[in-house]
Order: sequence, then structure tokens, then C-alpha cells
Amino acid sequence: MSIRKIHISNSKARNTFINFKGFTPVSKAIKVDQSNIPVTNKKIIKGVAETSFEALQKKYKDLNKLAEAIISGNPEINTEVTGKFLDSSPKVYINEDLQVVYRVYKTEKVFDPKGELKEERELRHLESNVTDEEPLKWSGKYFPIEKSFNKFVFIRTYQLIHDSGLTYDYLFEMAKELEDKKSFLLLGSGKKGTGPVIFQEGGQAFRVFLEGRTNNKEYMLLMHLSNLELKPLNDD
Amino acid sequence: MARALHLFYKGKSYNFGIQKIDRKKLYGYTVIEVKDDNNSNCTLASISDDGKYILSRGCVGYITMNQQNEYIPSNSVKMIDNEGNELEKIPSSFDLEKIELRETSLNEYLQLHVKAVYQLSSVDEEIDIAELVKLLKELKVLRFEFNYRTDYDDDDAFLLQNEGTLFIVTGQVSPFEFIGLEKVVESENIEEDDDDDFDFGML
Repeated sequence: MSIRKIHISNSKARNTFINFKGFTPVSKAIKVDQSNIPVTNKKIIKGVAETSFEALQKKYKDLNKLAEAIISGNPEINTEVTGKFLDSSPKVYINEDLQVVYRVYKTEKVFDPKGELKEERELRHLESNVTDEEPLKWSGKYFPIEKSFNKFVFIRTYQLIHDSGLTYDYLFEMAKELEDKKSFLLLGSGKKGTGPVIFQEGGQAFRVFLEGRTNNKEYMLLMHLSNLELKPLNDD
Repeated sequence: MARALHLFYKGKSYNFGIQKIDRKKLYGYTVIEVKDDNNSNCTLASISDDGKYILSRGCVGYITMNQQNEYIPSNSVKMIDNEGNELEKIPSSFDLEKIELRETSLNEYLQLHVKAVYQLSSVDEEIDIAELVKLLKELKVLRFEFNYRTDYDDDDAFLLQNEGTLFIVTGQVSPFEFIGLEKVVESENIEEDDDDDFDFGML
């Protein structure tokens, strides 16, 4: 798991860049052949756009004619590339005529949980704010763990880790402070530290809750990310 | 009828149906519409390595190959663990007659790398929910292994309640450890708004 950086401040408004790491679940199952040699999945070309059903339907217009053409001449198969391995495959936009387009216009349609259109707006691009010049702030909003662990779903959890004696002191103190309060602390953007946190360019926005644990001189400072409340679905 | 989970704790059985919860169902969703100059709908496609062909949806597939680049049919593939032991599929939790719940710590739950969240509904009588809610108010969380489909990997699952509704949160517990001063981690650097509204729907 790679180490990343985040710019945060503590309860005394002292800020610094801190390392954090996550966890990537791995399968315990290894796919092998009959000789127990690992096998891999490879990408291959099954067909091309101009021989796809959509393209042939447009070309022949009548499905009976298309069927006859398939029986007599195999227009649905491109023998030059079908079955070839595909390594890098750059992405492009294509239009309904299956032609590459070089300029596109994006709009975002917002639907409510029932699937009804609420709003149509310009595409919203969320910029990462975890390494901004302005640190993510200690909001001072505490959520007692025993009362709030079941209010939010912590989709991801990262561990904050030190890279020097100074950052060890900084993080240990934070963990101890939170452990003593038996609370999560809302860490966030904006003046009050209550705004959303965006870890990746164009990524999702999260609420971030810090949780601290200590064990003698050791600490575990966790950053819980949530974008979902733990509440029942409205079946209306 | 929806399939049921047969949870079991201290000699008592609790039967529940489950319903997945996600942001789309709670807050709604967005769809990005892409158009060209002629207002034609656009979709993403790939380009072949030589740049000569457009590969639209359905044009790319996967095959299984051995290390000599020979095709291996799916019925010749098997699964082993790290020690080379052949793995059997783990049955779906819905096919089990009894899933034992065990007590665990809140700390373990808080280290869960979440895969899915489900809301539970009783398939018998409402008493099942009331009993477990009462129990969970005291114990906070109960743990078990969960497997939605028969497969080679199961998930860690935690049962908890919020305001009288039962939920299951599944995933894998992250193996984070306490760290002391001597454990210094080398960094490898990779990579506002002022909204004060504490609203999950707008995230």
C-alpha cells in the first residue's frame, strides 16, 4: 500500500504534512492451471465498432438483409484483428455514428432516489484538497464514539503515520487527546473545518472523522471517511 | 420471497431478509450526459494498439492464459491458497442453516474496509428485530462471516443497529497496528470550500 500525504492541523491549529496509508483487500484464492502454475487474464479484441451489431444494423437497415449478409459473407467478423491481444487501449469518445469526436459537451443530470430528474447542471469537478496550502482543520466538533459509530458508514479507513520524531509527537498527542475524549473528531476543509474532503482530483467528497488509540508509547490514529449515513431506506 | 439469513446467537435463531443500501438509494444519483457538436450522444470507446480500429462497447473481452501464453479453458482453472492447497468454494450465507454470531470489539468494526451495507428485515415476526436491537444496544456489534454468492472469498460482517433498524456492514478488517517512535515510515509523495452545511446528500 502506497504512502500518501495529507495537510492537517491539530487542536492548537498547528499544521503539518502527514503520511497516511490505507489497506487494499486481497483475495486468498490464486487462479492456477492443472499444474498449479498461476494463470492470468489477458485482454483481447472480440470485434471492432464497424462490425458491431449497431454498425451493421445501420449499414443494412433491414434485419433480413443483415442476416443474409452474415450467412453469405461474415461482415460481423474482422479477421485482421479479432483475437489479438490488447495492451494499452486509450479511451476516446465516439458518437452515435461510431465516429471519434474531438470536442464534447458534458452536463450532469441529478436524479432523486426515486429516479426523478431534479436538476441539470454543468459538470461539477471536485478538486483534491488534502494537500492544499490551507490545511484541513480540526473543527472542534466531537462525536462520542459509542453514540455515533452507528450513525455513519465509514467507507474507508486510513492510518496516519509519522516520518520523524516530531511528527510522532504530533500524532501521538492527537491520538491521546481523542482517546481521552472517547470521541471522533470532524476534520475538514473551510474556515471551520467542517467542509468536505476530496482525496483525488475529480474524486468523491467525504466527511473525515479522526479516531485515536494509544497503547503505552504506541499510537493508532485513524482517519475514517464517510459519505453515507447508516439509516433505513425510505420505502415510500 | 427474498432469501433469508439464519443468524444464531446464544441458542436463539433470528431470520432476516436483507436489502442493500447505497448512496443512490438514500440521496439519489447523477448521470453525466456527453454530446458532440451535432448534439449526438457520445460514449467512451477504446482504440486498438495500432490506432486503426475503434473498439466500442462489447468489442473487448478477456481470456485466461498460462505463462506460455496458451489459452486455458475455464474448466481447467482451479483455485489454490498461498500454500498450494486447492480451495473449495465457500457456500453462500443464504444457503447456510445457521450463522453463528460472535461478540467482538467496536475497534475491530472501526477498522473495516467496507464493501457493502445492508438493511435487515425480519422474515418471521417483528420480535426478532426488537430482541436483537436490545442486545446490540448493549453489545454494540456482533460479528460473523458473510458470503453473498458461493465463492472462494468470504467477508467479515458486522451486525449493528441504529434507532431500531438492524444493519449488516461487510468488508475486510484492515490489519492496522499500533506504531511507536522507532517505526519511521519513509514517504513517497504522490498526490475548499467554506460550506458549513453538514449534509451527506450534497457530498
